Amino acid sequence: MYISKSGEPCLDPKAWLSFCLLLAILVSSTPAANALQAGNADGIVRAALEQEHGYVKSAQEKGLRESHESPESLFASGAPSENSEQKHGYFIFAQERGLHESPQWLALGHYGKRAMGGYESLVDDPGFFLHPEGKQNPEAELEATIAALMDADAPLDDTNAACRYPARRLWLLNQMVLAEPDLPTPMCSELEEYLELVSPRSATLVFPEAHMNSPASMFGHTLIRLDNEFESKLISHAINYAAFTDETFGPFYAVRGIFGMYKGYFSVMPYYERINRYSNMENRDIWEYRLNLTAPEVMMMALHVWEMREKYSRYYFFDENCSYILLFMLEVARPGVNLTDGFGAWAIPIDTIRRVREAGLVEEVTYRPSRAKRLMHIAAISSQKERDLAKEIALGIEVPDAADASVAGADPAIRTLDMATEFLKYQYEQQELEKGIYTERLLKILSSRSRLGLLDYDIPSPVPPEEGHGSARVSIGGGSLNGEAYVRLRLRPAFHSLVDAERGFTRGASISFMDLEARYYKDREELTLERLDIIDITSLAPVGDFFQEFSWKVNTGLEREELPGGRDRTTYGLYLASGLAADTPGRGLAYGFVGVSAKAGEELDENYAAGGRASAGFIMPVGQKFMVHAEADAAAYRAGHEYDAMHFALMANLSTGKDHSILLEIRRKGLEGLWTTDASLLWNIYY
Amino acid sequence: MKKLFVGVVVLSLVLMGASAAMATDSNTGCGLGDLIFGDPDTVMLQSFEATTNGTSGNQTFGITSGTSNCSKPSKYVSNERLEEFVAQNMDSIAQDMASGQGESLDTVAELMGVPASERAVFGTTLQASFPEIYTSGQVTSAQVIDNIAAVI
Repeated sequence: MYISKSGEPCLDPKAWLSFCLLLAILVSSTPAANALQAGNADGIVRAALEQEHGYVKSAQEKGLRESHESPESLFASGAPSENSEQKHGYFIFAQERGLHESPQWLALGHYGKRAMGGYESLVDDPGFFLHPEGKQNPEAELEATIAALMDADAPLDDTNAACRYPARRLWLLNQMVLAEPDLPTPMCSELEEYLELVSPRSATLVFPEAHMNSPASMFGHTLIRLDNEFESKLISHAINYAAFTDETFGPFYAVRGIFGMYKGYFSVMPYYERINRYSNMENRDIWEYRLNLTAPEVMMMALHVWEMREKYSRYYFFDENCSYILLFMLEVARPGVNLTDGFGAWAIPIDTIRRVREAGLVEEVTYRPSRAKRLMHIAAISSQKERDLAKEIALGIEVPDAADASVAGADPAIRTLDMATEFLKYQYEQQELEKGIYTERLLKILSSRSRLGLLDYDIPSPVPPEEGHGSARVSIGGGSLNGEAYVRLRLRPAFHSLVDAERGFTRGASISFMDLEARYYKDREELTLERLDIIDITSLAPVGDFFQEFSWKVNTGLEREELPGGRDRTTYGLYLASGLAADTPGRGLAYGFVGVSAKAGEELDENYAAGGRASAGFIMPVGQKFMVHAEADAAAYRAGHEYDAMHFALMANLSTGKDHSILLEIRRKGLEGLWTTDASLLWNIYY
Repeated sequence: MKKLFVGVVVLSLVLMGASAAMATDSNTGCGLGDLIFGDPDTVMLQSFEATTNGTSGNQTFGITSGTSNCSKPSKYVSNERLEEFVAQNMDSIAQDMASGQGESLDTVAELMGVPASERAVFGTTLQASFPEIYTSGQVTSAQVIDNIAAVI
């Protein structure tokens, strides 16, 4: 039995409060607001940059400064000085040129501008700083660095400041604050070994995309590859920033990741290790963005990675994460490029790539398909018979020679054995096969394959992910609910839903955070919070010859429901479901889920409802610009407040540009005996 | 404050966490199929580790995987880069070799000093001798290098 509350105000204060709070968060994290913040930092950076360039140029031309003697003149003999006054003189020399606030010094220290003024380094390891207050004081850190580099008493081994801070040293030399004759020359054997192995010449930004069946991994990851003189990129080295965890309990992992309780470290490893992991084990497509950094710029970056060796920063899943911290590396390489300002409460990896592109650093983009993609491509150009035989060979049911070249020529047999190899490896990497069986079967298949010659596969490159719609979305429009007109506003900070344009995104993968909808009903003069999806994830994994995984769905958040008699209620719900998806003709994807749904709310009997729920529907792209999504959803709540709910939805989204679309939604809902028809038109802006 | 609010709100996701163990990086194997796996991750946790790129293990810089526990080729005077690459990529080299071409195979060619103009022939030659190079499921990287040298 539902009993209404009396005397509800027209403008629901709960709605306003939630809306304002979220709007505040959203606005403070939008690029617009951050451009304002960044404006200040930009101004300082630009001024310092001009100063920096001006100094180097005039020093080269004149050789002497007007207001100060040159550092060289302070030391007639050119030997390193033990005199701390003279070291201080070098520092004043640098300080007058504003070098302690120059973009490259700030990047070398990972300094960010503080809201209250001044700077703070994102590095947390005290061992990174030479000055006790170095974390908050780039000026003091610069002075301490100069003093340490000029210290004639320090041992000339790998512990010397010159070996530990080679990027800072090189930078000071480039700025002509210090000169080689003034500095001790230690033997940096570890550094030399590193430079010889890595041998950096050029750099590439690498973006591994989403795992299969893991929409949240659509956010991706970024790493920087340092390319050497070899043609093969497999033996380049990759710079990776990652959180080091020992966690095995999921919720702790999430909490510690969000609140910075893990330490993040840089590591350098052969690129083939990253390929083996991302491309093969995790089946992630990889995008490689070759950067136009020069060899000296790349060397500076490589030296700075060495400075970060075994120095930690607190890892924050949302903002100071893998992709954001890597931007400091690029800022070190190219002085004056501003990549780290302008990110608000979170830094989504794909957005960091967009930023790097906008800064004009990208020269070329290369696509590297995952093992799963390669397998699906070969499967798509093969016959059902070839696919079936490939599977049987991989499972050991058939011998490899069953792929007989004498029947239909070499190509079908080659495709069959190549599919068998990929599928066998896939199974092994998913730990569905024992090593001894794997190696034996692999060798047999490859031996047969080696007798069949060459075949090229041309795997088409999809739309690069940075060309997809923007990560955040704001929508405005209007509609009518059972004849009552309303104005509708939606805000979604991240990331992508099934009806948004598919270009650049993983097909069938949808993830939304904090998707908010508010309406203003004209006649009632009422502003409502219609819904707030805190998390909504759908993963559609179409079943095929080789991959048969469950699709799944999670949704949790607030929802307002219209009730008979002009009443309504707002409940907090959780829906978990699992099911299957399948490809349909016309590039569509059909799905069906079954799951459980629970709701909590003071207007429900016993304050809760729980029961079973099912959804079914399909998505279908029509032409290049339309996306259609139709869904039917039914719930039967049988614990707590007992009721039934049904929901039919038809959505059609027309893309009018990369970041704009028009969405038509028609919904028919049945709840507690009341049927409502809701139709609306929305203009979506992605940014 | 911002972090706190965002973090508190997203804690709903925490309810759905499960095992968080991460796959560790590949080990220093010398033969086919030598990869170390962590516990299989649940799909939802993959989402976190995918973005944090968390790793368990000590925080060393980790440049070289090290092939100290692999035997060295006895007949071919090779270099460390070649030995390490072959040891760590036995499976992909095998797959490329059986196909007569591929990125891993090209890398081996380059590390063995084969000029770019001769790499196609290198590939087809090794393809034709595949069973003499990858002789069994237990073949080691050192043997593979020696066997390649014997063929070319």
